[in-house]
Amino acid sequence: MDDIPKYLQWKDIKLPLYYKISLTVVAILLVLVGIQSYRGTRHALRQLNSSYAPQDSILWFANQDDSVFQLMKKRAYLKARLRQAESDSIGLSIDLLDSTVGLRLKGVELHGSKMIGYSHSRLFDKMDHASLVNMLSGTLEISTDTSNTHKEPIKTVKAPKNEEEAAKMLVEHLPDTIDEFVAIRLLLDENLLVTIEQWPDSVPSSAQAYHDFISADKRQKSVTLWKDLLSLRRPAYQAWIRIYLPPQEAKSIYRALPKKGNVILKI
Amino acid sequence: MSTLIQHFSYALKSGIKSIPGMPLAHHLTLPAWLVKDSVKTIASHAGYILSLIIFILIFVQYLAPSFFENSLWMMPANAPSGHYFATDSTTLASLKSQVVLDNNKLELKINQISKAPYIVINSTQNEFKLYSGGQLVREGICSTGSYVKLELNDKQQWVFRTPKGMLKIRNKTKDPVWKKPDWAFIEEGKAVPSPNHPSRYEYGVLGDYSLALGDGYLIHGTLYQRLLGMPVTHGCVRLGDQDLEAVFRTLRIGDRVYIY
Repeated sequence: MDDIPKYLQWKDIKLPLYYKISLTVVAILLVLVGIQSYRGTRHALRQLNSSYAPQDSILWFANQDDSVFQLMKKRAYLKARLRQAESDSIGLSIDLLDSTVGLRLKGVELHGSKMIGYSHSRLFDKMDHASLVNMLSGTLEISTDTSNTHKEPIKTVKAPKNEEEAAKMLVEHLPDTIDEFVAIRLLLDENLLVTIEQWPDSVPSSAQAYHDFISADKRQKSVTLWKDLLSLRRPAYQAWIRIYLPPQEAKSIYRALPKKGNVILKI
Repeated sequence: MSTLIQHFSYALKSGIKSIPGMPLAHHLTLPAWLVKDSVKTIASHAGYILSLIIFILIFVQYLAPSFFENSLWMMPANAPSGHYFATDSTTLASLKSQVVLDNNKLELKINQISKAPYIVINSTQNEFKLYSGGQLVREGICSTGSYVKLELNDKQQWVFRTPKGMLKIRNKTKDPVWKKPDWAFIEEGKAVPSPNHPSRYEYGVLGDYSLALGDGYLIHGTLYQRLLGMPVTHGCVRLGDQDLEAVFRTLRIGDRVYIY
C-alpha cells in the first residue's frame, strides 16, 4: 500500500451512491438469474425424466459400466429406426455420435449430410439413463417447424389471355432460387428444440432473410427471459440440439420433412 | 486504464483540474465546462444510469442464457428414477451379452433392405441417385416441379409440384407420345381443344422413354437439356437422355421411386 500514491488509495475514495446502487442491482440480478435458471433447468430435467421413465421396472445398472449404457443406447437407436421405418412419411435421423443427419423413408436412406458441427443441451447428459434410453428408442414428433424459407415456394401466375402474353410470361418466369441459405427450428415432443443452421462462416451478410430469422429467434428468447425474470415465474428451459450443415443441405431437409414428421436421435 | 478512471473520478468529485502529488505523466486536465457543478452532476448521473442499463441488457441478452446451461453442472447426473437397481457383475455380464444379441438381431432386420433397384429424387436440389443391388450405380441432375400455381379462374387452378414420398413404377414406354392436358393449352394462351383432338398429341417431346408413376406423373426426357438441374417442370421428373436410358433399363415395373 505504501507504493501507491495517497490520492489513489481506496480507503480515501468513498464509493458514490451510484456505485453502491449498481453493485446492488448487479448482485440482485446475478442471484435472481442464478436461482431462476436453476429452477428452470431442474424442472425441465424432472419433467423429461418422468415423461420418458420406463413403465415397467427394468433390470438396470447404476453407472457401473459405461459400455452397457452405450450398448443400450445403440439398441434404442436401432429400435427407433425400425419404428421410423413403419411410418409412411419421411423421417429425420440425427446421429450426434457419427455427426450425420439423414432423411429416411421406409428404412431407405434418401439423404445424408455430414454435420460441420453441433452442440447440445447439457440436459441430455444429466438425464436419468433409463429415461434417456427410453426416449431414444422411440420417434419424436415434430409439433411445429419454422424456417426463413417456404416449405413450398408456390408462385401464383394468372393464366395468359393469348399466345403473345404467354410468350412474355415464359421469359419473365424464373425458377426458384437455389442459392438460398436456410435455418430451421423444429420443436419436438416434450419441448425439445432442434435447430439446423448453415455453418456461420458460409453465410454471406447478404443473406438477409437468414440473418433476420436467427436474430428474431434470439430476440424472442430474450423477451421470454425478461418476462420470466420480472414475473418471477419459473422459466421454461428447453433442451436443445443445434446442428450446423454445409450450404443448401438444410433446405433439402426442411422441404422434405412433412408436417408432424418424426425424428429419431442418437446421442 | 483503471488508474485513469480513478483519476477522472477523483477529478470529477473534487472539481479540480490537476491533483497535487500526482505524477506529471498522470495529470488530467478537464475542460472548464465539465467541471461546472450542474454539468458534472448530470453527466455523472447519466453515465452511471446508462452504464447500468447497458450492463443489464448485455447480461440478459448474452450472459443470462449461459446461466441456464451452467446451472445444469450443479445437478446430480442421472438422478435415479426408481426404475432400476444396481446389479452384481454376473448379472451385468449377462445383461451385456443380451443387449449385444439384441443389437445384432436388430441390425440384421434393418439391413434386410431389398436388393431391388430404386431411384431417389431430391426435388429441392434437382438431383437423382439410382441404386441397384443396394449399390449406387448412377447419379446426376434432373428437373422437378416448378411450384407455379396457374390460375385460370377461381375454380380452375393447377399447382405444378412433384409429389413426395414413395411411388412405384406403374408402366414403362418407349418413344412415348405426350397427350397434352388442358393446362398445357391454358399456359400457352391457347383455346382448350376437345379431349381427343389431334392437337393434343405431341411426338418426341418426352424423349426416348417414359416411366409412369401414376396420376399422370412421369419420369421422362426433355428437349430443354439446359434447364436440367432446375425446378421447371409441371410435376414430372425430367432426365437427360443418357440418364433416362440408364434409369429405363435399370428400373422395372413395380420398383420404388423415392421423391423428397
